[in-house]
Amino acid sequence: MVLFSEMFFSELIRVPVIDKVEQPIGKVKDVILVLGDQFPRITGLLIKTHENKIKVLTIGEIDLVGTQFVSTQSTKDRLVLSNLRDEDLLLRRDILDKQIVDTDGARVVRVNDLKLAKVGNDVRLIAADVGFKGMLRRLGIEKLVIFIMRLFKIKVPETLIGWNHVEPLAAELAKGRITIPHKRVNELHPADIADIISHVHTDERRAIFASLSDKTAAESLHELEPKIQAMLLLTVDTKKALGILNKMPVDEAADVLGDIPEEKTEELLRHMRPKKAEEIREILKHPEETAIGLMTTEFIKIPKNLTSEETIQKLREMAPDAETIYYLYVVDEKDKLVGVLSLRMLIVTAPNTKISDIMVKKVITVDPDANQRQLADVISKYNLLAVPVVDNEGRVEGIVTVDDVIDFILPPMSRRKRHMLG
Amino acid sequence: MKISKRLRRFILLLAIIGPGIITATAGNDAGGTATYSIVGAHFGYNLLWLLMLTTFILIIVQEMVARMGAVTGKGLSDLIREQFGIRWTFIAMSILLVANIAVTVSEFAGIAASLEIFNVSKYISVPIVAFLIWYLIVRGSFKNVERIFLGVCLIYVSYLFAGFLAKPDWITAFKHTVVPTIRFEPEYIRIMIALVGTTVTPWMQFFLQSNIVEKGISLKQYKYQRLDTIFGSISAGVIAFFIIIACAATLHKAGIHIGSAEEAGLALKPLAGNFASYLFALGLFGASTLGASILPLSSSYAICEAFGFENGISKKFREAPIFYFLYTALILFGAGVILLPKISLIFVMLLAQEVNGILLPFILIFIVLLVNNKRLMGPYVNSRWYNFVVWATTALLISLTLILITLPILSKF
Repeated sequence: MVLFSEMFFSELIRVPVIDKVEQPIGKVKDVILVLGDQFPRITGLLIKTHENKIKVLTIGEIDLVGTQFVSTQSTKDRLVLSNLRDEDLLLRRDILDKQIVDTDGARVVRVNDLKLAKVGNDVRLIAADVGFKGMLRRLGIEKLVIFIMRLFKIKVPETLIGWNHVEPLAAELAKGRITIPHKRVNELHPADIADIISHVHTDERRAIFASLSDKTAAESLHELEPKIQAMLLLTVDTKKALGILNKMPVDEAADVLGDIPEEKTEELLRHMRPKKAEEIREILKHPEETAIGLMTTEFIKIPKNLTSEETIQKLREMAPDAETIYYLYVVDEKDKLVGVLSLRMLIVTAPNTKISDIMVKKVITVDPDANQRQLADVISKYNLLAVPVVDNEGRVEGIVTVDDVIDFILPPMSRRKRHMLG
Repeated sequence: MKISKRLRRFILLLAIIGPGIITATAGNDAGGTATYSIVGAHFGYNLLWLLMLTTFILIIVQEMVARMGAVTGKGLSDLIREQFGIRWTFIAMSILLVANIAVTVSEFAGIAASLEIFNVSKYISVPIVAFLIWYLIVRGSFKNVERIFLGVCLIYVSYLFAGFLAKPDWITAFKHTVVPTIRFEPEYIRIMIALVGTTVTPWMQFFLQSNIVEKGISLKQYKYQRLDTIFGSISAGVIAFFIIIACAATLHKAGIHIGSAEEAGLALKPLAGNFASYLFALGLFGASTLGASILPLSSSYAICEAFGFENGISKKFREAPIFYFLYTALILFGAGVILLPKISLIFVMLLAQEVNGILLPFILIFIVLLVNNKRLMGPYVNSRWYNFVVWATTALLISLTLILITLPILSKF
């Protein structure tokens, strides 16, 4: 098949199809493609014949493709037309006008037009037009508007996104028939993924979320607003949910579990490691807004009689579990908090220094029932990354990290939310 | 954390309930109040049958739209764009925009009319309220204010009492509720279009479906949602019924032709005596302000979503210029029209509803084609009699419009 360099899908639609000797056959209705390559290959055209039948003209039968006509290699009576199969993917039906993820800009955009080009011996889908120009072209007023705008010296920008930077949304592609690994989405920053998830519709949310690795899913989940968190966690199966929860620090896991029905929370907790489940249960007992509800119990606690060398050794053993290792909390024999040590201090001192000599003895702490506002105030006032929650006897119950109260310090826009009415 | 299971379920129910009732309450806006009042005052009980029919249509249409939202998880303008392509979207959005501009103008007419009863000139009230609405929404602090206005709308319940206290002729009212009266007079046809157009509006369908999607209502929860939709529609119908009854029993009986909002307010006299106008004005103000805040915003959302422009009040002006431009322009235009000297506020309110009634069937066609799309809706497509009701409504409205256009020509022969 020969394509004159490149063309837009909108220029191909409704173009007449003729045979070798210029006998009319029908009109172009849609374009069939296979995903998989970076730039999907076109395998045929869907045409509406003059007998009002919808048929597939495979690429091997086509001679020329242009904006004026499409011609076939053989004559009409020799032409072999096939039927559309259920698993076929169509440009117009499944991709055009739908939402796609622009993985470069990490945003969700709508496809206004699609660009096809000759690549080697194949015709491939190379770019999506998501801009104003594509919209005008579809409406058939591109030249007119651009002419008018030129009179006013306004330039209409090109807004093509290469297909290698695009991820179609799985749910769009005809419900469940085709599954796309959201490979490119998976590589984005979790905060960007959360942003994308909050911008797409329910089905796509599930599809994208289900395709994420447990670790990425856990990190993205934390960025979303509670309602969406709960919805997503309920849509994945128990095994996946457990995998995700395992990758979350206890406080975040508790945060999510607090928003889903109790029966489900119980079921998930039963399947978790008993120690982690116990910690989550402890947090869930308290109102979410207080220090004890927000804190994590995964922090580093060291006895005061250790040297810095021993401490570093101990840190290596414990680090994988702790949410933050920048602060080490020093306790006495009765488990009472006596000081705090920063990772920096620990590393720069000589190996056999006693940590009780270098620790900061005056520790900023909060009560278990401190609210979010108070926590935010303390954390921002003293520029802390985390603050320990201390009970009446001076024992550390857990720590509240800065990310748990960041929404109170920064304007509330940081939690990704799709603002609409209602 | 320790909330009993039953309480949890109840909270869930409350969380789901809402979109339908909010939509229906907001439906009894400035234009609705004006139309129902005029229906009662000028035509007595004659049009009660049409109100019954329209309430039934409202239930059917809202249920369809809500179902579509729950099944597809997408807004109406998204679906139109994805299923019909950009040209049809352009047409649908133009229709929606014209209808919504008309309603926005009528909401500002309501604001002006209600505050005139409190002796505030429209040249003061309209610019101030328009700016406040614009500002509160752009600042994102509208949610709290919305609840207040919803509360103010409860004043409309007073029509229920006023209706009873006015001692209407129940037998005649009942007769007209079940037996249709049709007259081939331009004024009668126009009020018929307006009555349907104000009860079932294009914008409500877009608003409701977005709301359902936004709440993330799934198919499992849909049975509650359905109750909410039906209950909301019926309560809107009941209030409209009593506005008509109250006006018929007072204004129509006294032969008063409504020319201003103050006169429309007289229908509440059996209940509130000399305070009738003030009570009416307060309710009208609440409903109009609610409408004037919802409409420009929901129109901007619908249009931007359909064309894929950045949207949302969480975005900065530079990030979503078209969204903010549309939103601001709608408010400026709506308020601007009302500031024209010598404009009849009641006339504007009624005209807007006629425009809605004329444009509604085209939006209904989009809706019914979408809801019958098997690829989209799977087993949840419409049943046959649902389709019958919608197509019949479409046909009724289009023929009413055609009759209205041809009547002046025909009467020349």
